[in-house]
Amino acid sequence: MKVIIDRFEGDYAVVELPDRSTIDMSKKLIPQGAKEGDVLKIEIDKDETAKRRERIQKLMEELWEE
Amino acid sequence: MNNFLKYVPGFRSGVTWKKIVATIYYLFCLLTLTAGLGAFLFFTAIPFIVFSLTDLIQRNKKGISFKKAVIPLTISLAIAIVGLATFPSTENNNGITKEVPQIVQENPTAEQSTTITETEAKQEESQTIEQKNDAPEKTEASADPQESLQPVGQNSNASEASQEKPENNDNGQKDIPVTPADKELKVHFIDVGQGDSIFIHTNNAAMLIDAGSNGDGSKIVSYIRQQGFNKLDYVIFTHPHADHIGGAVDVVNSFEIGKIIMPKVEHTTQTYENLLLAIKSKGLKITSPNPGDEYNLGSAKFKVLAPNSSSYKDLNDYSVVTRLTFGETSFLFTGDAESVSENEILSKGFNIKSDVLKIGHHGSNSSTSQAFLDKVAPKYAIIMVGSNNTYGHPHQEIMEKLKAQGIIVYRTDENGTIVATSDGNKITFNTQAGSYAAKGSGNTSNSSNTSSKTTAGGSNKTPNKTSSKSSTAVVQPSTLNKDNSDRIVYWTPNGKSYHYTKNCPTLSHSKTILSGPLSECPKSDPCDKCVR
Repeated sequence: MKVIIDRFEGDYAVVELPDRSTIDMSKKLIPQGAKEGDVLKIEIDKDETAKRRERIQKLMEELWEE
Repeated sequence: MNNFLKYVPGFRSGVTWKKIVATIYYLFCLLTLTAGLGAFLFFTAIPFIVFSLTDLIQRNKKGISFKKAVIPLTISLAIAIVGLATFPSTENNNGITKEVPQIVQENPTAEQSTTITETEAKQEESQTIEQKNDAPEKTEASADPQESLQPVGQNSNASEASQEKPENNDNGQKDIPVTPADKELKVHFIDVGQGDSIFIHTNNAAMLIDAGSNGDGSKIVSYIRQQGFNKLDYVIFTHPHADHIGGAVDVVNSFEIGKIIMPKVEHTTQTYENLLLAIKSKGLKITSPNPGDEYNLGSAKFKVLAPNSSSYKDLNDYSVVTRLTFGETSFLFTGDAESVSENEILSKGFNIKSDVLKIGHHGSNSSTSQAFLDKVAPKYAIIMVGSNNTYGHPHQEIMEKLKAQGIIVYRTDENGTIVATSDGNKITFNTQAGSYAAKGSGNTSNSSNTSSKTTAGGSNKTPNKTSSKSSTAVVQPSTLNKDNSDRIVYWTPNGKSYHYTKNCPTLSHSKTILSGPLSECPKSDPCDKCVR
């Protein structure tokens, strides 16, 4: 999904969604240096997700009794 | 009869060809009656002027007393002047024109002088001729001629008529009354939640400043229609943020528009793109705001005061700032201009003293600097703000400034739509004044990213809309309990208490901390540690 930064208000970036509605996004979610008008891509990092799953599963296998 | 003909040019000598020419001319004069009495009088008087002038010159040469020639000259001149002066009013009767948006040089409400001396009359004639040469600025609107359901003067022929219309003279004397003096000016601060939309009108002239957020368009359009308007002489979109142009496409598509004023600044949102496309497909052009430019709105007028630079860091500072005057009353509309732009306005030395100030940027502390507020010195302040905005608008320090100076505050979150009516001397409001309650301090806090309003992409949740709808004039509890209900508090989904600080030790193990104004907090029990 792509969202567009419409403006900044205090702790929030107000972003425009594909349906043209706007929502507030905490500035903490916005990459540093992003400006009004910048387009943000929000996507699932499949590789990173898979890696983390694997790691946690390993950990779980070690810890559960059966 | 013969006695009378002796004085009529063309019949005096009795020469046949002269009679024929004269008859044709006088018949033509009769025809001009269809264009109005003024035209008839004017054209009829012309031969009298010409021939009495030649008579005068001949007599002067021959040394005969020319008193006799002066009388018809004066009378015919007077008739011609009267004819000229009645030109526009006869046009009015025919419904051709009344009021044209045009840049004013000065004094648009100057009274038409009723007694015209001969010298003035001559001036007037020569001016009219001069003005015909430099055609006044053409209205760019390619308006749809059938659209107009307006009362007289709102139709699209106005732009045509403006071509023939002389501009105001430097001496303040006006050849043509642009419009009868309006009795009232109304300024509607339409409640669109967190966003701006201001509809302004006199009897026949109307303008809109901003169009709220996405989804507010139909509300704004129907509000304007309810006031009896189908044409907007001016539309100002102060800057391209979505809480100011969200409903703009609906406005552009719904009304005949005279002039659109917008800062020429780029933004990448679909909202902005769609607005530009709507303007394009309507065949309209956009006028850049030029500080110092003045425009007529009926017998009110407004002056552009900002933006004064060509580039800014923040889009807010591109906001078109305008000061509207009607009689002795004045309004200042600031959009979201922040202190950067305010300081530029101050250094430009514009007269910004105004009775009503639309507080910049929804009461954010980034606007309304003390120096600016001091110079505007308003009696009334309007804050256009949503009751549950996430940004803490209006900020506490702004409310404190307003309170300290005893400025009466009206705010859309408490009052709903606010209507200010000016009779040229005083301004009245449709509602009781609002409170000085602030929503937040405006200090950037390290608020938790699990805050209730934060929604990241990826979920199928219906997005929260930033603009809230407080359409009724219900007075918020904040007026009763102003210290607390607007205070931002923190709570957890399963806890029973609310907290004044999210660093409260009792919250140290909580993963999810929600926040919001106390009035919206579902928890009623104050925390023993940080609240009591």
